[in-house]
Amino acid sequence: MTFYVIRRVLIGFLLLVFMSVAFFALTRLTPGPPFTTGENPRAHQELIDRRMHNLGLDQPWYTQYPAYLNALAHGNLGDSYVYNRPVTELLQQRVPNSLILLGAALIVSLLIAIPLGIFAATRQYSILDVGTSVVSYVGISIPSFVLGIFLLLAGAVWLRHLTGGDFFFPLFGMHKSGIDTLDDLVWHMVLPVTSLSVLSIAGFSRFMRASMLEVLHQDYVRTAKAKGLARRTVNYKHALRNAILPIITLVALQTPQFVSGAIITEGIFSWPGMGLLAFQATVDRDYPVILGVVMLVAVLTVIFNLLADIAYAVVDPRIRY
Amino acid sequence: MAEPIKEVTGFQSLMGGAGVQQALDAEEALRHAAAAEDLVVAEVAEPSELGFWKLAVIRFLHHRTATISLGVLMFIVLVAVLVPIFQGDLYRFQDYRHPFGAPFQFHARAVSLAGVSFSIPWTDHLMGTDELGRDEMARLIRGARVSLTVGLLAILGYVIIGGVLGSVAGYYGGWIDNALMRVTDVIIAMPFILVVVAVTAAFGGVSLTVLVIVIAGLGWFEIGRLMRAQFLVLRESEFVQAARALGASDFRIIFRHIIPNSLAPIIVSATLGVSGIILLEAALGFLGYSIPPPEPSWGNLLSGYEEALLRNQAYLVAFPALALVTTALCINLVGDGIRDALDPRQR
Amino acid sequence: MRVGTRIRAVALASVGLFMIAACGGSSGPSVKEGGTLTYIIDADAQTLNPFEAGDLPSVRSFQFMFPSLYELDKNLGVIPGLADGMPTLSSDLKTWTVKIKSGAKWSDGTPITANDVVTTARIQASPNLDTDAAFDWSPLTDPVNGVTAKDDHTVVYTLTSTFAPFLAVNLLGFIAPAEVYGKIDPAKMRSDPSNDHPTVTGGPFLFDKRVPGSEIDLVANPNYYAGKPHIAKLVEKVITDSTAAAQAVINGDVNWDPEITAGALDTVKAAAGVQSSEYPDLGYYDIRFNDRQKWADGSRNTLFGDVNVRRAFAYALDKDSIVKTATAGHGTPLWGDLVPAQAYYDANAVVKYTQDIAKAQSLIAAAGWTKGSDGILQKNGQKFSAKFYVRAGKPQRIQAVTIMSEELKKNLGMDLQVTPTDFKIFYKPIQAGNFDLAFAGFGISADPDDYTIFHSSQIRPENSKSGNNWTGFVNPDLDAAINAERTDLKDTADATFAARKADMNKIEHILGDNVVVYFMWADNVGMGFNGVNGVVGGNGGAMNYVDQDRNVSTFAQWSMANPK
Repeated sequence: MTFYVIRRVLIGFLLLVFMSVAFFALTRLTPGPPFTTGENPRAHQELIDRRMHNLGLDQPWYTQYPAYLNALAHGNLGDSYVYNRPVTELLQQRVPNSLILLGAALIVSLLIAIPLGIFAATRQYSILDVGTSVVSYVGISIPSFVLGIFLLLAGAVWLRHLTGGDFFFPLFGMHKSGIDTLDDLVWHMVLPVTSLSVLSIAGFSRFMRASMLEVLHQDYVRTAKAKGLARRTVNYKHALRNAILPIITLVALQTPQFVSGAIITEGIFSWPGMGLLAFQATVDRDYPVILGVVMLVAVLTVIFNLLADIAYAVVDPRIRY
Repeated sequence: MAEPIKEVTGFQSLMGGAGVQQALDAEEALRHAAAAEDLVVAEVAEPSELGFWKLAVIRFLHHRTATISLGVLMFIVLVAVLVPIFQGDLYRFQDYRHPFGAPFQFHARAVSLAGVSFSIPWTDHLMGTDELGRDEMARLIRGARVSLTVGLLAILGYVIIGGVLGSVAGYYGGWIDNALMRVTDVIIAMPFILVVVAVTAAFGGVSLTVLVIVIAGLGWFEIGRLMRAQFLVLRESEFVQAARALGASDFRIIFRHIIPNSLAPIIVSATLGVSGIILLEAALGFLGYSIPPPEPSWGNLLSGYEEALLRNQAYLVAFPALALVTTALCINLVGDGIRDALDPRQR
Repeated sequence: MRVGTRIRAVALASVGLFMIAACGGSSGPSVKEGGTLTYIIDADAQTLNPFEAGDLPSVRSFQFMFPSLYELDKNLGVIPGLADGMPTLSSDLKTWTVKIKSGAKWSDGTPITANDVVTTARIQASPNLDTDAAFDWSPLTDPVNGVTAKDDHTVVYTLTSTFAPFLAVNLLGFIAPAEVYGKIDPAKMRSDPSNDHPTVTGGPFLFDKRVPGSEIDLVANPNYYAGKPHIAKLVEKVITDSTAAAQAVINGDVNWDPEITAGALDTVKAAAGVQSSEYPDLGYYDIRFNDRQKWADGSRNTLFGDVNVRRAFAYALDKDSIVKTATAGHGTPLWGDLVPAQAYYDANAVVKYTQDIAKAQSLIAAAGWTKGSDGILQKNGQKFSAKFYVRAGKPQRIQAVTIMSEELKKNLGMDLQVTPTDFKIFYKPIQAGNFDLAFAGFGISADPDDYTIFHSSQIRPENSKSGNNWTGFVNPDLDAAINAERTDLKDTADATFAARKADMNKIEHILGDNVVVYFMWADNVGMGFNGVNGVVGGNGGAMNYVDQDRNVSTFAQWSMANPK
C-alpha cells in the first residue's frame, strides 16, 4: 500500500510538471500577442515590442519555459500583464468568492438531490420516480445562461414590480456596499446559487438513484431483507452507506474545479469570482493569470485524485490497481 | 453517466474524477460481463428466438416516454434536414429597414381552390423577424442543422477516439494503459476556454470544424474510460478465454467478442453526450464563439437573450430556447430509455 | 504678430469667445449636503495610477481624484481648471506659458505648484515610462528641459515647432503630486504597489478603500480648490452585466450609469425618475480599404485599389438605414473623420454618396469587373471575393457588416465573407497590408488632428512601423492639408479655428472624394442619472464634458436629491 502511495505521488508530481509544460506551450502558441495597439491612433508599436522583449515574450516558448519553471518552483506565479499585480494576490482576492458560490451550490444540490435519488430508487417506477426523472432531465436540458438570466430578471426585476418594491433579490454583486453581514451575503447568493443548483440537482439525483439501485440489487441486501430486517433499516443502514460512497468521491473530485469559477453565472450576477477573471485573462492573453489558475486547479486535482483513489482502494478490496 | 455540473465552469465543462470513475466503470463493466456471460451460456444452452438486441428494442418501445421522445426527435431531425432545402436562402434574406417584426401576425389571404375562392389566415413570418428583418422560423430550422451536426460529429469523434484509445489501453494493459490514463488526466485539466480561443485563433475564426475539433478533442475521455473499463474486465472473462484457447487472434477477439458486448454503456453515454454537446455549443455561442453570420445556430440566436427580454422582445429568444431545451430533453429521455432497455439486470 | 498673444478659449464647439465658467460650488436652497453617489463601471479598474491607466474603468475611477490644468465646458470649449486663465504664446508661437491658480492644495495639505505640473509632464515624456504618453510629448524640444517651472505658479513649455493640437492633446490631462509620483522610477511605475490605492490626491474626491472586483470608495476632499463637494461619498460598483446595470439605474439602486449600452438605452429613457441623455462619442467606425494595388506581400491584387470600385461600394449602400438598424437608432452616420462631438465637425463639408445602385453597377463595370456565372464579379480570372474582417464579440459592428455583405452580394455581386476575428489577431493582417477590407474603429481626442491615420508618412508597414495609416493611400494634397492644420496657429482663437477649419474641410473633401475609407458612424453613448441634482446637460444634452476626466471640477457642483 505504501509503495502504491509513493508511486502515485511521484507520478502525480511528474504529471504536474508535464502539465505545466503543456499549458505553458499552449499559452505561448495561442495566436495573438498579449499587447496590441488596438483602437488608439496614438499607440505605438515600438512600445509594445519593447514591453514584449522585457517580458521575454519574443523568444520561442521552450526558451521561456525554464525561467517560468524556476519561478514556479519558488512559489512565484508572476505578475498579471493586465493588472500588474502579483497573480497570487489576484487569486487570493477572487478564488474565495468563487468557492463560496460554488460550494454553496454544491451543498444545496446535494441536500436536495440525495434524498430525491434515494426516494426514486426505493420506489422504482412509481409516480415519484418517474416524476423526478422527468423534472431532473428538464433540469439538465436547460442551458445555464438561459436559466441564469431568467432568474435574474424574475427575481430582481419582475418580482420587484409584482410586490410593489417590497420584496426582491439584488441585481448584482456579493454585498450591499458597506454592509458585511452574513444575511446580506445570503440574500445576494440566493439567485446565483439557485441557478447553479438546478443544473446540478438533476445530475446528482440521477446518479444517486442509479447508485442506490445498484446497491439495492446486491445479494447482501436481499439477504438482509430475507433476514426480516425492517425495510428502513435495510435501506438506510446497509444500502445507503454503500451507495453514497461514489457520490462522495465524485464530489471530492469536482471541487478542485471550483477554483476556476463559473464564467457565465458570475458574469450574469456580477459576482467577483475567478470565472470572469480567468475568462478575461484568456481573451487578453494574460499568461501569468491563466497559468496561475490552471496550475492551481491541476495541483488540487492531482491531490484530490490521489486521496480518492487511496480511499477507494482501502474501502473496496476488489479494486486493485 | 450524468453530468452533474452543467455550467461551463471556468476551465472545465465536462465531468472530472478519473480515479473514482475508473472504479465505477469497472463495476459497471463487471455487471455487463456477468450479463454477457449469461447471454453466451443462454445461447449455447437454449437458442432463443429473440437476440439480445431485439429484446432491447422491444423493451425500449414499451418505455412510453422514451418512444415519444424518439418520435419528437425524429421529427426535429427530419424538419432540420428537409425544410431548409425548400426554403433555400430564406434564412439570410434580410429586410434591414424593417427589423423586429412581431410574431403571429395573421392577415387574410385569398385562396382559390377548384374554382371556389375563400380566404384563409396567413402569416409571412410565423415567428417574427430578427434584428435584420430575417425570418426567425427559417433561421430556427436552419440553426437546427448546425447544432445537430456539431452534436453528431463531435459524438462520432468521442466514440472513435475514445473507443480506439480506450480499447487499446484496456486490452493491452500495462504501461500503455498507464500512459493513456495520464494523457486523460492532462486532457481533463486542460483549460477549455483557452483551447477554444487558441484553436479559433489558429483557424482564423469559428467554424463547424473548429467546434467539432475542440469539443471532440477535449471530451473523448469519458467514452475512452468506459471502453477501457469494459475491456479490462471482459478480456479476462470466460468466453474470451475460450476463444483464445481456440486460437482466435487478438483482432478477432476484440472485434467479434469484446466490442459487441461493450457497446451498451457506450451507446448510452454517447446518446446522453449529444445533448451535452448541443448545450455546450449554445453556451459557446452565448460567450461569443459561434458560427459567423449569416449562418444561424441556436447558440448565436440566443446570444442576445438578455437584451431581448429587457426590450420585451421575448419571441426572439423564446423559440430557440424552447427548441434547444426540447431537443436536449428528448435526447436525454431517449438515452435513458436505451439505458433501461439495455440494462441486463432487468430481465 | 503681437508679443504675448493670449489664446482665449479655443472654440471647439462653435465660433465665438466663451466666458470662463465660474468655478466654485453653487449653493441655493435646493442643494442638500452629504449623501452617497453610487455609479457603475462594467469591469474592475486595472489600475488607479493615472500614468498607467489605459482602460475606461480605470479612467472613470481616477478621474475624481486628480485635478487637471484645463477642462472642457458644457459646450466643449477648453476652459481653465487648475490653470489660471488660458495659455500665452510667445511671438514665434513655439513657447506656451501657463499660469496656475494659487491656494490649491493636495490632500496632505501641501500646495499644488508648478513643480507638480512639470514633474507630471516629465514623467509622461520620459522614454522609460512604458506608455504612449511619451509620443504625445514629442513636440517638446526635450523631454526634461522642454517643460520647466519659471516660478511656483508658472509653467513654460518649449516646442520644436508651431503645433496647434498642443492645447487639446497635452494640456487637458491630470496633474499628479510630484511628492509621490516623482519618487517612482518611471520604468517601475507599472508595478508600483501604490497603484492599487493612491495615497495623495488633489481632485474633488479622495481615495478611501477598495474591494477588488467589487467596488471602490471615495470620500469628499474638503480642500478641493474649486470648493468642497456637496456629496460626501462616492461608491463605484462593478456590474458586469449591462442589463443589470441599466435596471439598477432604473430602480435607483445606483445613481449614475455613465455608459448605458444601446440595447438598454431605450428602456432607461422610458423609465420614470431617470434623467438620461444620449451624446455622441469621441470615436468613429469606418471600413478600411486596402487602397494599394497589391497586397503588401505582393501575393494578390487588391480588390479596392481602384477608386471607382470604392465609389461603386459607396453608391451601392444606404448608409443611413444601415446605421439606424445596426445601432438601433443610437448612432450618427458619418461621411468624414470628424464627429459631432468635435467643434470642427461640419456636416456640409463632406462628400455624401446617396444610394444609386445603377450608378454603382456602371462604375464597377467601367472598372472592368463583370458578373460570372455564379453571380460573383470577376476580372482577369480573379473573383471579387474577400474576407470582410470585423472584431468578434461586437454585435453592432457584426450586424452592420452582415447587412452590407448581403446587400453588396445582391446588388453588385461582391462576395465579401463576414469574418469575425479575435481582437488579438484582428490587426495583424491589416497592419501588414495584407487585406482587402476591414471594419474598424478609432477612439479620438477632442482635437481633430488625424496625422497618424491619414498622412502618407504613417503608412504601415511600408513607411512607418507604428503608423495607423493602414490604407496605403498616398495623395500630396492630403499630406499638405494635414501639415497645414497641424501648424496653423494664429494670433487669436478665432483665426486659428478658421484657418484650421479650412484645412480640415479640404481634408474631408479629399477623403470623401476618393473614398479612402468608407466612414460608418459615431456611437451615441447613453448616460443615466437617478437622484442626482446639479448635473447640467451639455450642448444639446450632451454629457461629453463630464465623461472621463474632461471636466473634473464639475463634480463638486453635483448634489444628491435625497442624501442618506
